[in-house]
Amino acid sequence: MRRTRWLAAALVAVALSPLSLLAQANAVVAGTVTNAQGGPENGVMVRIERLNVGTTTAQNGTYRLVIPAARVGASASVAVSASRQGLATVTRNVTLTPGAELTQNFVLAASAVELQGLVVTALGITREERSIPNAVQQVSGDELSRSEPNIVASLSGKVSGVNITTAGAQGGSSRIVIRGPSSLTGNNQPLFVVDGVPIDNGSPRLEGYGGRDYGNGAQDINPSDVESISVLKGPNAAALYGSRAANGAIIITTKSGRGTGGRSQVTVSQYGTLEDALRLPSFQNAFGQGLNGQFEYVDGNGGGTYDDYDESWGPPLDGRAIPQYNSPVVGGVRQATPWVANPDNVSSFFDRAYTLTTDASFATSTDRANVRLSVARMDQDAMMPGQKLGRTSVGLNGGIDVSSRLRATTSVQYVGSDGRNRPGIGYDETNPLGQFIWFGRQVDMQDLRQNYRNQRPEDDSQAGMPYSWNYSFHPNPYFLQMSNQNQDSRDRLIGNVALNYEFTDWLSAMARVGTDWYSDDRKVTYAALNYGVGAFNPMTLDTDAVGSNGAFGFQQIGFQETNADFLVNAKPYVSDAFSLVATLGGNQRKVRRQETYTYVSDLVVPGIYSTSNALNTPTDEDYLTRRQINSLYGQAELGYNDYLFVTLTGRNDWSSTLPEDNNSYFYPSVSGALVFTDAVPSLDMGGALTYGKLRASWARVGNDAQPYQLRATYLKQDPFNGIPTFTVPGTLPNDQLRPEETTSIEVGTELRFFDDRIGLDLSYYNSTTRDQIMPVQVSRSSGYASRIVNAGTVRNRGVEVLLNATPVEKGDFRWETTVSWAKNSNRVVSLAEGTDGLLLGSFWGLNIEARRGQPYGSLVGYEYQRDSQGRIVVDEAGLPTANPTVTVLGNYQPDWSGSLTNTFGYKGLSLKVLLDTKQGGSIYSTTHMWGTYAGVLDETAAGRCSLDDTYDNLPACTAATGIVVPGVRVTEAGDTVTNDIVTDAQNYWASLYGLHEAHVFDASFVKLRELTLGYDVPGSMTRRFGLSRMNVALIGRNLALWAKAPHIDPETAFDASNVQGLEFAQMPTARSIGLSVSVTP
Amino acid sequence: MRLKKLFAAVPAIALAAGLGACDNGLTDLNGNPNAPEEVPPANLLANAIVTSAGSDYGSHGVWYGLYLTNIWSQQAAQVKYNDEDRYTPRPAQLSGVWNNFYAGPLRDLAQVKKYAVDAGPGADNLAAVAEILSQMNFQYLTDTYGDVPYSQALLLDSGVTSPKYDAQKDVYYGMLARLTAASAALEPGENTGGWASGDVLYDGDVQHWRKFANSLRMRMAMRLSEADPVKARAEFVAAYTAGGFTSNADNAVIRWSGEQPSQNPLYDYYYNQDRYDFVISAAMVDSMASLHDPRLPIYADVAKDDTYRGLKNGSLPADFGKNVPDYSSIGEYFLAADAPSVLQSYAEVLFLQAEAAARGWIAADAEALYRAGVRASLEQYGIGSSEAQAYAASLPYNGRPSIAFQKWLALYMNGPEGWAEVRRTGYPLLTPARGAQLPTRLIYPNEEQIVNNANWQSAVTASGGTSVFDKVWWDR
Repeated sequence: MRRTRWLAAALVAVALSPLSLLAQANAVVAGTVTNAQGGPENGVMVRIERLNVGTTTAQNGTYRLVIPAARVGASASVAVSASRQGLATVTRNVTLTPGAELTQNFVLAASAVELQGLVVTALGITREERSIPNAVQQVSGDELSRSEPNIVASLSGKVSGVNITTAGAQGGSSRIVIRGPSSLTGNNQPLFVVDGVPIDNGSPRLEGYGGRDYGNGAQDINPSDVESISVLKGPNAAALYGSRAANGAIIITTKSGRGTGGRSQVTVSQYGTLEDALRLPSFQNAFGQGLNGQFEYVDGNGGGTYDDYDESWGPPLDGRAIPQYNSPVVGGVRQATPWVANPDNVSSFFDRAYTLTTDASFATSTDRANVRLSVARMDQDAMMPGQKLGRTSVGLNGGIDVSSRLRATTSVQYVGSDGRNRPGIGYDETNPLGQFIWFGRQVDMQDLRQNYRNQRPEDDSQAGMPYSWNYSFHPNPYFLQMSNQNQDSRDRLIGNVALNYEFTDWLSAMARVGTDWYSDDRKVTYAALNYGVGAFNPMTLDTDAVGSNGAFGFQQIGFQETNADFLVNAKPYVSDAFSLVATLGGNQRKVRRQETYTYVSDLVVPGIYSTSNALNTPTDEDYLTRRQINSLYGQAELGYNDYLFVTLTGRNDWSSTLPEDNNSYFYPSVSGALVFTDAVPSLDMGGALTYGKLRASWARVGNDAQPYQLRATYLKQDPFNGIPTFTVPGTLPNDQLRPEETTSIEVGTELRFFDDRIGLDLSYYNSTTRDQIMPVQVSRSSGYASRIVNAGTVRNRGVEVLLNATPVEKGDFRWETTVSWAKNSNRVVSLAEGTDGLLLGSFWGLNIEARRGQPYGSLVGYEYQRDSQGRIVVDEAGLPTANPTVTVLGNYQPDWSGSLTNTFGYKGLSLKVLLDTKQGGSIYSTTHMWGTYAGVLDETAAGRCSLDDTYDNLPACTAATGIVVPGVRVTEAGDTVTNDIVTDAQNYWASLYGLHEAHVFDASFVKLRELTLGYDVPGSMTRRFGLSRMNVALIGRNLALWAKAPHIDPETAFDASNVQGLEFAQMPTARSIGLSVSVTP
Repeated sequence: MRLKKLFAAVPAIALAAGLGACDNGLTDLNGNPNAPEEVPPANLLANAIVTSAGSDYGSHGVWYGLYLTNIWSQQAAQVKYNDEDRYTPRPAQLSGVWNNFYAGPLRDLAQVKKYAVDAGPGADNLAAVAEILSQMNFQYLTDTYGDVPYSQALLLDSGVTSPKYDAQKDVYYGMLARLTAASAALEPGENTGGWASGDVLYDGDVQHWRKFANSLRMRMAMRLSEADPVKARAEFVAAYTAGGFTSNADNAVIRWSGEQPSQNPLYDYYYNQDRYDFVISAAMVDSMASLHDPRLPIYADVAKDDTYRGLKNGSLPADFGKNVPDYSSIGEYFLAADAPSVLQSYAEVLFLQAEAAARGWIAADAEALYRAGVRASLEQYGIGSSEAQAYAASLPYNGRPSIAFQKWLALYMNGPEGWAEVRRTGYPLLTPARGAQLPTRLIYPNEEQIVNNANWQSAVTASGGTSVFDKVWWDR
């Protein structure tokens, strides 16, 4: 409370002190700003930096800048600059005299490189790039890929030091982590802010056993509405946003109607791309379904010879005659038909996919008002059969000068997104791709496609069942995708209204209310006669208990986050040498999320998915969370001669989720920027160094807890014979929690050489998060699985390099290149006392852990048993054995990441090529584990033999026909000898089940991420069609992949949570190629 | 608007925001609207009883029952993916049993006991019942893992994050002492806290609880027959004198209604999840067939060729012959939605007494008790008393091996007790699936190496526990 009063008093002092300056004779600079073609440019910022005065041009391009006499002095020589985002800044020197008016006109040329642009920083405050003391990288809307609907994914390769992964399914989540994970169990993704208002970027937690990925919240943003994205890296940049920006912030500014130069502007664009699978596993086509070289289908459920097995260890696919699932039944006898390979049976499962996006915008402005309205529709027909995705966006952005001092602005985005038949994720029958890893390689996919609606006829052993190749585990994959329908739709409104009042030219106040509201409806249905899908999980809408007439569940999520802010900005004149910009603000954030679920496990009549058709009483569940944070904050930027800047920030939060005595926390930051080439011009290296800046900052950021972690509650369980039951939940709460804390330092430099032909930006940071609020595992013998504590320290330190260069600029030809490289070194310094590891997630026995002394995200599992010389030790059957102690087999974080962008321009023609890489890091490929276990992957074709010569379809095992595992074995006498025992492929690959080391791969990759070949049709041609501008482009994304891991795209995950480095039967990455056409009438 | 008014407004806004920040409403907002902070102890008790047996890793559930103890006692065999039947259990199972009992029923029971202590003397019966059930669950733990946390277990709310492991002998002494005290504390009639409504075993009948406590005490005492015969005998005689089950009506049984969600976990596994991975073992079928045991049609269904055929435990896939329908399924009696989960039976108690008589601990006719045990087992499955009588009378008797053998048959589908008794008595003579012996324990959960390393290390040093072929103290 004391702090609050102090801030308030300071504000009053700041507010009142310079009042006396208002009444003296002023100097005036006025003029017009035009573009290269001579047209007026409105909305251009004209500033005298030294005197801290500025204005923007009106619709007709005119401006008038009034300078208080006290600031001018007797007369002053100052620099007047005119700048606007997207245009190069022009600076002219003028001499001001009190009482006199002088004219200064500007001509602005379009500029591709925005090295001196304005940058949107925390709270939407636009700052000049030179004064910013920390790494901020700005991406303009034009740079976003038009073939990637998810705005997060489209940042891949464009920002140094960020790690983006995309979960497999189309329409699924993308995860972005800036400068490495810092929170052990919390969210490690940055805060997303749209036009100054934080939005929800939540995404479903999927553990790899079913559930659907409905995408991450930020993907609702329509990329074509984006003017710019500022990536604030780390807590230093984001200190003003408070705890939620401890992992950085992504500040999205939407396009406004400003800058149309008084004209009305309509733009219509159309993008169409075709998608296919970038990479599918390589399957073997030499052996079909079965075991031990044998197979005969009777009922697909164990009635024949291994006909319930979903593995491909069967007879060679040599055309021999074998009764199969699709063989005709004549007189009750299933006929033998040719046993042949269907090499394309997995690739042909997928549909031809396309994405079609149309957007239209209208923008206009007058000298007092501007408005932009946009409408966009995206339709995606996904590769997964039956899956469709759509998004309708309507954006409105407007501003009006109510009076000369009061300006009102608003921005509203409506997004309606819808999805159909999203596949389940991971190892679950709802993911049809899972059964291609457990498969009979002879299965004819087109036969399954044609017959999925059919039932087995009367004379079939599975009479009445849906047509499939297997009745033990797997319904027809098309039945799973097409007959089990699911739909989801989300309506979302993100908007804000702000009022800005300019008391004087140096003091203004802003009040803003913004909200992010959405309502999500999801429904999943299961057709009658499902089998192999396993108890209804309301959180994922998956089911293990589908009644014979079908089942369904629906879920509704209502979310609202409202932020009310006020902000006072003061830029009082201090002296000619010193400048001050002070900001003081407050925020109240309220979040409410309500989820309700209803599920019905069996129906009366098949096909009617309504609670009125429920066989049993529908089960309902609901969950409500609320939280609130109140905050006060301030920022002061002190400048000296426009080359030295010191910025101080402070923020205090009061959070509802912490104990009353500990719920207030303050976090400060201090930072500085020095344009040393201005301070000491002799440092210009003989003119080579055009611009040089050093920056340094220190920040501390606090964080609160998740709601409801303070007091114990009981968890309701299923009733027993009608008697209600409760249990004590597995996590012991803690009413003594303290806020957690991240401390970060950052130093960096920006250098530009040879008139900005080369630009270099270097950053080093070191950030430590302590006292984390998290559930920490305890021995279950304590009665609990975990307890909530403040514990654990994670450190991230790293280097980011961004190099821009224009190697060639000759006539109309221009070649620009950008290289980014970043290396983050992450370490779990400590965990809760007495523990060395923290389990984050687990898949088939492989744990993803935070291990003390290791980077976050260790892959922990079983390795080969090796002797002292590192040779694999095999058992008496010649099979590899596992070391019984689990060890760290890898880590999911890459060692470094980088990208290379080359842009070539010649007249209206442009070519952009973006290569993107991550090197190092590991992934546990369960596709590989089960795909080799089940004998479907190509490496399993070798070494198929009969061990004791009992199977007539396979050759007897010899060193030539079988497998001799390189390694050693221990004889009965205890001697270690080189292994010479022959085993066969079926036993060999089965022995690697659970031996995780055999399935952990280097996740390094290089991707040809984007390729754009664009053409600006010359005006002479467009005018013939009555168009002022027309651009056509070939666009491509994810065109090529070079990866060390076999079978998969290693850039994948089940979800966007902290549990990464796992995969099974992932939806292949979409490779897309298409065309975009954009016209402005 | 006048400038000065606006200036005045700015600090006012700031102060208002500041005051809002100190609002107590902020803390109230964090009260959880989704779950209660208090519930009746009866509802915790009911949950603890049901999860002791019927959860995934409960004594009669899928993963501790079917996947481990039913096959390691060779009652059942795994017909698919038979890692466990080849003695390489999956990691989740190694930890699942441990996690289920400690962080499941035992934790709920600890909360019930705490409630009873706060409620005072009137809640003695509630406290005693919770204590009896706790000791039952601790026995599952120690029989499975050997040395386990006992004296320091379940004390996280008192700050014990890493409990030490107690020697199995101390655990047994502790369990016996607590069981004895709990049995003595039961008072007929009193029913504080309405606990009887959550007593799904005996509906609040204190007499039954006393018999159950004494029967469990006999089970525990007999387990020490080789390791600590003096203690075993003394405890057994005391429990026998106090009185255990006297008829099948006394059995400790969870009776599933069969209606969703109150269904036997095996039913859920077989029919809801479509998993038919277990059939009856060859050892069981062959034993029963040779004796023309009338329980066989109850214990097993016929294979597709209308014969009873069990699967040899630990067969490699190549030896499986063909597939599931080639073998006899576990009997429908055990897989029905309303199949009872029998925690302890009268038959078991009679076999315990028969053995005690054979050992000369109690003055009784061992053979008569043995035959009574067989008869009680048959009658438990609804076989008429004359048929049961005839079968019991027809059996050979050669002392403890006979008792152990028939007890093994009677314990069908009670995996934990079946496995423990096979280990203790060495009967029947089962052929291990591979190697020279049946698994004799579970290794400790891997997580213990992370979260309780020092104590885990001392336990492993003291009594082993890194191999499933290490032996627990009472089995050495």
